[in-house]
Amino acid sequence: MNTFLFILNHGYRGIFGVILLCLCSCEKTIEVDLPAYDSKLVIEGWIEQGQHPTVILTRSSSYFDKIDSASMRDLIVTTAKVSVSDGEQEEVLTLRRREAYFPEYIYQGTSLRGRVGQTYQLTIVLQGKVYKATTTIPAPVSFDSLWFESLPNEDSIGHLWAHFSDDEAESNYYRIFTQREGIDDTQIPVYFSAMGDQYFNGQSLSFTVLRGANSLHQRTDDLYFRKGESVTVKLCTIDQAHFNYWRTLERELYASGNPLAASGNAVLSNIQGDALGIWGGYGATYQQVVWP
Amino acid sequence: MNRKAGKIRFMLLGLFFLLTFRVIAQSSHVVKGYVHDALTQEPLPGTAVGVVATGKGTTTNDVGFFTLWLPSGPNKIIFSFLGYERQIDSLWLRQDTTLHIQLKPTVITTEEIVIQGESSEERVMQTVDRVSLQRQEIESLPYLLGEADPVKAIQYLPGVQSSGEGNTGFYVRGGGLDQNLILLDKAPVYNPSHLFGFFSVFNGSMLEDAELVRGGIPAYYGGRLSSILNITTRQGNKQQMKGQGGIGLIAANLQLEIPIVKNKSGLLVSGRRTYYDVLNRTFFSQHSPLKSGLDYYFQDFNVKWDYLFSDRNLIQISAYVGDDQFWYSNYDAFTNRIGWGNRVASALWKHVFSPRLFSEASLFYSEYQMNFEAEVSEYHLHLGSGIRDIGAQYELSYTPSDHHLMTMGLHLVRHRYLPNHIQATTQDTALDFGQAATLHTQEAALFWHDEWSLSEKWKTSLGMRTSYFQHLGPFQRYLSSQPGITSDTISYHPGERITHYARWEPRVAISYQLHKQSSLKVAFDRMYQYTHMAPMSSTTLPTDVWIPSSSVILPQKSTQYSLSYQHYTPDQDYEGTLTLYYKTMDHQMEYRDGVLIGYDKGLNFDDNFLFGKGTSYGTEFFLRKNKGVWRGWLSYTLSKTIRQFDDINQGTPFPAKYDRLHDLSLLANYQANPRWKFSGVFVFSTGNTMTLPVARYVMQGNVVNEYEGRNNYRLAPYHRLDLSVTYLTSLTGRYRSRWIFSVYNTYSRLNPYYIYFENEGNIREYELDVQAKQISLFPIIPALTYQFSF
Repeated sequence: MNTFLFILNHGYRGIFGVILLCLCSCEKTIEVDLPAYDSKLVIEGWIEQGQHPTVILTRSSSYFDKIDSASMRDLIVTTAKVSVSDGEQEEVLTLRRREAYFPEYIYQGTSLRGRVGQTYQLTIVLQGKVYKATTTIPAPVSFDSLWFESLPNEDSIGHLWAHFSDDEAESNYYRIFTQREGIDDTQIPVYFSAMGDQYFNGQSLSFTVLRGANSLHQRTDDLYFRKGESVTVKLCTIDQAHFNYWRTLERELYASGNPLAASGNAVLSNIQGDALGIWGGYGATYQQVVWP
Repeated sequence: MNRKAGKIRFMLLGLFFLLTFRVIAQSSHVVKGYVHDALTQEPLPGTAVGVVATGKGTTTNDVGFFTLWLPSGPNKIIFSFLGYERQIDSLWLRQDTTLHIQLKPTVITTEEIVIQGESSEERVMQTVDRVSLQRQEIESLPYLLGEADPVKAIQYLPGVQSSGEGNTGFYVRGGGLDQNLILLDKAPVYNPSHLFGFFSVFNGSMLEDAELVRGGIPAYYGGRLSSILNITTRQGNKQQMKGQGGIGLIAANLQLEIPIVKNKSGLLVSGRRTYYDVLNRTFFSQHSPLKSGLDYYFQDFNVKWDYLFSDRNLIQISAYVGDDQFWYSNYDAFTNRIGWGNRVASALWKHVFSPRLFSEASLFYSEYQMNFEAEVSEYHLHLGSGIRDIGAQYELSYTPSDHHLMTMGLHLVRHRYLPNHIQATTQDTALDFGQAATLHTQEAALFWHDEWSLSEKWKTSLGMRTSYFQHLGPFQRYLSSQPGITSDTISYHPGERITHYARWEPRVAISYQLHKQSSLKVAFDRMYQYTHMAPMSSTTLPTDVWIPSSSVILPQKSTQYSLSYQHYTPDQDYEGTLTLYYKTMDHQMEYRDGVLIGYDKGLNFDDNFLFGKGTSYGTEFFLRKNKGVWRGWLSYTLSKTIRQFDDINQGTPFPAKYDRLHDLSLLANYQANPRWKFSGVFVFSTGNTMTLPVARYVMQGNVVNEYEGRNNYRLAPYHRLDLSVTYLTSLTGRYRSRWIFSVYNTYSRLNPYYIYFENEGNIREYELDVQAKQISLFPIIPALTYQFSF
């Protein structure tokens, strides 16, 4: 599924690229005056079954504020009271430093762990303001099979394929990550990582898993995997609000700067209060696949 | 009760006409006749027919026919039409008389740059806000890559804005791209663009006349809110075989005029094609990146046949077929094909019942199709969309007196829409994007238009159009309790009426002659539109999709008030017009936030839209010089266009994408001598608006843009100078040819096309710098075109 979105996106970009190529376009750096902006709280929070809830808090910054290590540290919020409740038990998360994350400061629980089917409420109190969000952890599912296929003209590079069966009884939403052993520090979302089953409800299908770039600003060798790599594929089920967030966020990431796509689109957050971001539950399964 | 009263009023009105008719008839004789081109025998519609003694007159109709009531005794009549020698006929009237007038073309060494049609007296009193451009004046202007294009010439008129650099899309008085009804010989054209909007489908050499109507819109026009662009193609020569052609930088065209029956019937065929793909295949090696990367062509084919059966019957058949094919592959596994095109045909029968009663019946067909295909290894994606119209119009015009014209008629059209339909297959699966949802709708309109010169000074034009729309089955509407999940489905049988709308569209225009050379006009226009296109971007693209009104999408509605003052200098050398307008538009559409074609299915075709209001107001100034070696015009528009949508921008009004405070075009032609002619066009306009991010934040290692406010940024102003020089190689003889050298964007202004931001550095290493980059499309582009005729 995601491949089609990728194709469409690529196709439109392609058309535009060609227009530019044909019509001898020119590019120059300009000064842009943007309206004044009040910084907002940005919440990146998640809870996975069997894991403690984790929340990263930062602030948004005006567009042309340079980001360097000093200014970035100013944007990290370390003074909030962050708590997660499952309706019965509530835990206040504690601030820790973890190098695997970015930024490196995270709020994490120690007793509460995610359970399938459970609903979790996040409450953040910062400078007298309260931000709330709710998410659920749907039942996890797994791929029927995973395998690699090399490209037609290249033996050592190829696509990761997955075969998958969707549950017809309900609307399902998924998010997929990959992590190459010894190469990637974290689970990296694939291209168009969030997908809903609206086009393949109840079907059994095969599709390619397009490896996402470590960061979208450094797309050097993405999409493919190489012979010899061992890859952990994380398949998550997510609820609809969670899906809508990543769907619209990814859309914005891919469409921004593309004049053929509508820009300035809202990213649909599930946070109540004047904040950006997401509080999302993952029902995750991890599967290992090796390209010998 | 009401109907009865109406009937009585109608009868009284009829009686009144009859009486006036009688009164005139007692003391006068009818002088009627045809005016033709002496060489080609083409009828000359719009010829001014003036009576010297009284200073009054009329103009010939569409078949070159006129009638006058004149007193017995000596009379002098002047026939004048621009580009033709004036002819004065003296006659002694004893009885009703029929004249056959043949006007000789003036030996014009150049192409006219005058906008003509009617005499200036006629235009002073005209109630319709219309401008028409003829082929000669359009041909010698400078164009992008030298391709003459009527739509681009139209963009130089006041109140008309280009949708973007080199683009054929246009906005009229704050109306969207879809609010212009573009007619090619009476048939609508839905996506009149080639090469992603850089050229229009109207082959400049086929053109007879391009007429734009923006206000005081007669009731026989309808279906769009903002304007009617009426493109009429030429008729073939009826006396001798003729041909012409041209070779330009990107395309070549050839046209033949073949007389079928001398003086009665002519055929004109014309073709145009780009030759990039041919050159590419011939001259580039197998390993050239271009060779493997892309291929492109577009082609047009026009035919027009007309037959003057008798003095009373004229039949015209016109057809257009054109398509674009684009093929592109960016690496070995990815290929992309896009093909799109229009097929348009119309048949027209003009019939003269009597000198005072004419009819015009037309049938038309129009189809637009787009296919987008992409392949990556085992994946195949197909996206198709289109629209097809079959329709007819019947118009009856009656002139009870020389001062009064009534036109009434009926318009019928069946539409078939195919909004985006996606088919996707992989190795073993076909994804379910639903059935191709073809939509069927019908539109009908009854119209009555009445133009009456009440006195020497007052002229009114009243009209009423009753339009009706229905959406018919088969159709399935999916209902959902929460987004994306179908909870119920309503099925409609084929032919079952799903929703319908009936609307009244009153039109009023009054003109008052201040003195012989100047007039004041007011107009009120109410328009409805049942077919819509919400473009993804500001340029016209083949992927733009037309959709009909439905139970969710209400008909678009506009109300326009305009006031204009028009003045001519006594010698008609100069004319000036000042217009004020105020227009409101309801049920305007925008895509819901976050929609990308194919990405958001939506359960129903009308799910992805938001609705709101638009307001546009402004003033237009137009000054034109019609005679002499220097000719041209200055057009300037000062306007504001605002949109307000409850669900966009928190309900706060925002400027439309194409809101431009200033819009100026200056166009000049200089005929240095019979061989050399120079033309120039200068345009200046306030920059477009854009939605730019105001902030950014980090989410899962990515830098994400944050927006506040729709269209919150304005690009730098747009300005450009184009020049051209035309050289006639021969002034006598059958074979004529000329060279046109043109320069687009002479001082190579880098006009902003769009802005994007480039991040440099790595966020994970706490190093990120952002730069705004502005993309400009065309620097200076020279072009050379060779044209010939025989």
